[in-house]
Amino acid sequence: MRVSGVVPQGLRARILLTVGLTATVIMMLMSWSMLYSWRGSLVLQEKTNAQAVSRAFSVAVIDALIFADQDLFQSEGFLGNYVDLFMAQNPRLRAITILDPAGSVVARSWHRTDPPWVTGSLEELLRIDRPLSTITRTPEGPWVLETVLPMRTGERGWGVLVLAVEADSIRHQIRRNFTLLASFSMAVTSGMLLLLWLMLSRLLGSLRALVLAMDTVDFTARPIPVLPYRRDEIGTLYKHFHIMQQRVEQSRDDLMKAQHQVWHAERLAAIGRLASGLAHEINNPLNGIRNCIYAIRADLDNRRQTAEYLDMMDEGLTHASGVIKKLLGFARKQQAGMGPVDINEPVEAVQRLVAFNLGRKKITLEMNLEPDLPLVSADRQLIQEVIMNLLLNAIDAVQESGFIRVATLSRDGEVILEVNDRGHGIEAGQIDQIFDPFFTTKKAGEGTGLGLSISLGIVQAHGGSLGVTSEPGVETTFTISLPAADFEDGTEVEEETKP
Amino acid sequence: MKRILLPIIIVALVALVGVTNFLVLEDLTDISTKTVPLAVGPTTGDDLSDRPLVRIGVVSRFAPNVIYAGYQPIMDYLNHEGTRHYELQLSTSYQDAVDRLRQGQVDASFLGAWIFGHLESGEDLLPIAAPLNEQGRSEFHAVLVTRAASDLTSISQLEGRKVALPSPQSWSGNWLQTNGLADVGLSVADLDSIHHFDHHQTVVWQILRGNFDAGVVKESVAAKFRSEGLRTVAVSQAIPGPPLVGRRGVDHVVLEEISRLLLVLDPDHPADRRLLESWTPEFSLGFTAVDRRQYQDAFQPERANR
Repeated sequence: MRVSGVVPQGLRARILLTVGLTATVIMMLMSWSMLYSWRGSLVLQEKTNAQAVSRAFSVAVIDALIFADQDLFQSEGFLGNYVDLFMAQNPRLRAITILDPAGSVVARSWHRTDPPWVTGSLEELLRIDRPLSTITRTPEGPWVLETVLPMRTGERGWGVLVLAVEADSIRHQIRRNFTLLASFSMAVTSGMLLLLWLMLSRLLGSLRALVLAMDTVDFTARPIPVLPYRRDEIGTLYKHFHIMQQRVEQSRDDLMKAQHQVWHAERLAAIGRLASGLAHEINNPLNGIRNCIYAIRADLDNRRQTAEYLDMMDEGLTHASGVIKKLLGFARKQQAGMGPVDINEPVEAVQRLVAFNLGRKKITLEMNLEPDLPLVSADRQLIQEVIMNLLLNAIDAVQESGFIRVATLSRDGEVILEVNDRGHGIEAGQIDQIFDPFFTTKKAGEGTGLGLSISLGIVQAHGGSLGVTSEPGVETTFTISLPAADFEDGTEVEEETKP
Repeated sequence: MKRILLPIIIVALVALVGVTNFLVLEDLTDISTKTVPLAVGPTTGDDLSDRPLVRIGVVSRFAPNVIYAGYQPIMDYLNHEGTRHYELQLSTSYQDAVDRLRQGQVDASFLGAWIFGHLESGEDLLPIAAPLNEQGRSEFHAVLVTRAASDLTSISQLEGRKVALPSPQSWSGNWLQTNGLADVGLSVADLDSIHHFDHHQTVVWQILRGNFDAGVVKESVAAKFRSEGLRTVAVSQAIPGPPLVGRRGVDHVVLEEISRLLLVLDPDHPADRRLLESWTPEFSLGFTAVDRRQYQDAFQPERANR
């Protein structure tokens, strides 16, 4: 099993698990080390106490043994009385035995039947030269602390004093302290984990608020919403997120400005491409006017002819003015605005603009515009720019006396515009690149390479798509699909976002 | 699966903690101590039973256990360095110690200077050695002591006071009556009362407990209890140190061995000094040879007055 599959992935669970495990291990090790150390001290203290009691008792015993040795009295009854009195005064005492140097029992508590001795054999007991305490469990069950005290004066041995003290109370004390310490450790660990859980909940709540703010951030909102103020690191995160929002907003504004400049530049480039046709269109009425002026000068007194020629000159000027007006209408940098647009209208407007270019190459333009198309929500200027770009590309692509077909139709809630030319087509290796910025197959100075890229951006900004199919040497078809809009309740325009 | 993973891990951890705690508790409550290699006791005693027994008596100036604590190390030394088995023999009184020696129950005995000096016929007893003091002489003093807080500053203030004394057969038990009071113009009748106790340390305890206003003990005993609140008021004249006395009927080889082994100890020799320092302060400066005449001379005035 992989570790990542076992360890919870949630931040809170992982922190709680890691800290909990670490704290538990540390508290356990601390508790155990304290308990083991304390047990050692307790056992040592009990042994020391037992030996101190043994020494205290041995003073009277040695006195009695000395008197007995000097034949001053019989020690057995005297010492037996000592033992019984001492046992009665020390409830923890379980047995007392007094051995002479030969190992014979001089006196002992009445309820003790030894051997066996806990510490060792009788021979070993008689050879001990210092107090020795041993704790063990007796075969009967209870634990005892047996202290063997050699009774000596100098090198004169008086025998051995053996005291057995109950040791179960030591174990009970250890168990009680273990329970106490274990409970304390668990309480501390639990309290620490609870505190950590609360802190993590608050911390993660703040992070979730930040994530929510990131998910729902509205770059168009003015001013940018500010997250609640906090003094901790989360507050710093909030602050820097707000700064980042401002920087993103600034970058977005800069990008939009640059994009509009590019669009405008591309529009001007399209005007340049229209210029030759437009110049011819303006030049024709100007030549007619010049001829009229010659004719008027030649016969100034012919008022009827002058009036006729003046009408013709006015008609020519009106025509030239109309051409320039159309051009200016296209070139003017207008404020972008969304609104209901019948797609046939910009198509026809562009047709009028490129009519001169079509005429120069004797190109046949077939217009198959479906009447009563659904309206689309669009910026008319931008859509017109896209159509202009596609038609100019088509004009450039076809030969003299070529054929171009423009069609509009409605299908599945979308308004579709197709621009088909029977030109040289697009090579298969280039068709995936034609929407890339600055990609062009034209000669230097004849194209910016931005037209299709910008057109794609405009169409996508309107929620539509721009596609192309081509058969090299035969034809190329660009297809624009825009979602049809419902303007019956008048809400569509307000809900649309600006491209 | 992920939802129950955390509880499973927590339960597993708790189970792990519980099991390890149980094991630790079992180990903690196993308080049995490991087997300790048993020490081998002294082996001197094994050989002593084969040696000729020499009994050494001691006057009953101290309680039996105190006597053993003070004199058994000397027996141990004699057993180590000598060829015989030396054993202490207690007595019930100063006179009992003399009687046991003369009756042959003991071969030598640590007697009191006073009782040895007052023996009517001491020709059968032979002083072997006596302990040295810090001045390198075999002398000691009896001292009048009282509690540190007492207003008593001289023997002359003893009038109407209760006095505790040790055995009437010791110098400490006699000095005040024979010399001390007379020197300041007092007599026993001027005192409230005099009470004799068996042992010097009993005298000290009686004074410290406030049962008596003052008392007389050996200067070595007074020094031992100085830190317990005992103050010295007056000091007797010097008398010869308490002698170790042999009986003339005892094999002279035995007495010579005892004398040689004790007199050879040199406090200036490092090894001897270490040994002597382990003994009671009364014997920690070594021994010197003494003569019966020293004691007869020291107590001649008293003897003449009796």
